[in-house]
Amino acid sequence: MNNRGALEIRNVRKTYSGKDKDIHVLEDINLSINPGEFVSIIGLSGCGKTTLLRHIVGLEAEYEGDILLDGKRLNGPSLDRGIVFQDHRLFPWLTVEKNIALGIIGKTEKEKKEIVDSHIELVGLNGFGKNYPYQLSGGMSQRAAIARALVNQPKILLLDEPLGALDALTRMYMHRELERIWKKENITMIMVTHDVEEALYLSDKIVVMSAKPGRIQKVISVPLSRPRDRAGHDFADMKESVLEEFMLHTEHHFSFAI
Amino acid sequence: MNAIIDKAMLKRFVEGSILPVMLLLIWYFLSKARIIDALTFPSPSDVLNGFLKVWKEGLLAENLLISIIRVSKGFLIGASVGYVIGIMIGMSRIAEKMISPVFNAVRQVPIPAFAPLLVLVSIGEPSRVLFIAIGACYPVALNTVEGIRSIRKEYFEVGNVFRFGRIRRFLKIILPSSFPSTLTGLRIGLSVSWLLVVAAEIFISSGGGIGDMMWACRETSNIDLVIVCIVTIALVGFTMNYLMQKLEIIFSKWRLTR
Repeated sequence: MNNRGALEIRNVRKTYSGKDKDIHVLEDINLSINPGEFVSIIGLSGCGKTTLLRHIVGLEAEYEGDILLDGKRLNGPSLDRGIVFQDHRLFPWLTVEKNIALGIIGKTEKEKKEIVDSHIELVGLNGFGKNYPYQLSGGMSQRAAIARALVNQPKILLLDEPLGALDALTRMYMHRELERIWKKENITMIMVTHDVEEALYLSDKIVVMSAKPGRIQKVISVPLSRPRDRAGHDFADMKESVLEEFMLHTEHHFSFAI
Repeated sequence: MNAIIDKAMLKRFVEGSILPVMLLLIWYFLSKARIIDALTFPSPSDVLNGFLKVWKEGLLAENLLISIIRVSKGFLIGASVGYVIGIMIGMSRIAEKMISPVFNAVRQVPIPAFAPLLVLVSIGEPSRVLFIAIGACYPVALNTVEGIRSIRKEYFEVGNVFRFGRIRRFLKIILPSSFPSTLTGLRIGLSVSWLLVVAAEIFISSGGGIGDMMWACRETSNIDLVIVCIVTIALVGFTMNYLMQKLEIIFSKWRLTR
């Protein structure tokens, strides 16, 4: 199953023509993501990370360069890529079940029900299928949104700050859940975030982007073993090295070796 | 039935009844003290006797039924046309540009101003029904357009990700999310229809109906029966509006989200 979901981004640039001058949202983006990898894109607001994600999912169609999924140039949305938005975007007029079933086509009612049930199970929403979005908490809504994005068994799941609106504890809990779902589904996941710890906890690879123009500053691979220990020494070290990219690391004037 | 709900409803009923009961008492005593002349304005007991008379004769029920059937026809035609116009304006820019100016111009004409023209169409039932239909059409169209306009663009993006075509976009997004707004239009449209049926029956008379009956009673100076008709019109209109409001609440439950 591991020969799917390889993403190749080559010389991608995106320019909006403004009144006086052009705005370079993305410039010279080169990145390759292996099948089954968990990659985080991290950067300050306005660095184009969400734009890049929208290009990958196909909501923004015009771009220079190539974005290739398993060798094929992407052009518009397709069912082989799922997305979870920051605001869960569940349809409030539909139950959780019906929201999850939205993307399923060409199946009998029975097959549909099986797919929906198994995905409700996958994201741990058992017993909430008949509820409406207004009856769910933030975390539960995002679980439902993840299930909705996964029903078509996409090769890649894109996550646009999916946990940004949740409280800190729920977010940590959802990190574990995301990791579990990622392992179980064995798919490529690309997440946009501005939470360094979140990126470190989940990712095989962290892409640091800088703004104006939006370009990749550094790609950091995270070789830590899973499940990761947030309190561990290696984790803290890695966190420092990522924060260094943003000039946010702690200045150590002396270092002691024991 | 839940006892708490019954209690609350009873309280509302009692509170709402205070004013009409007081007015009734004032009217009763004014008649009793002969401050109001019984010849020019009937007493409550006269009106009650009049009511019992026309009820026993079946005159009231018969005319009421004629009006209700008439309203149903006019409302159904008007609401359907209004809905189609609303959907077209709401969904298509070209339709909006073509239809909106005409629609907004025609909307400025008071409905009674159409009466002389409608008599040219026919002198009987069709012109009365059409008269009602014109009035029912506007609120349904306007509220449907408003409902479609207020759909968040983000939901359409979800549709794009799942590659919704026109039909699914309509059935899964536009129709359900604009429906509560349409229902508001239907409620207003029904109220307008009920107002207009009385006018239609007076303008285009001798077709039966509660308005026709009221006018006939006026000609024969049966003021007690005129009051019976007025109260009946009020009660029926009130009930219709009440039921439509209940329906609106049921169908807008999901709106609690935002």
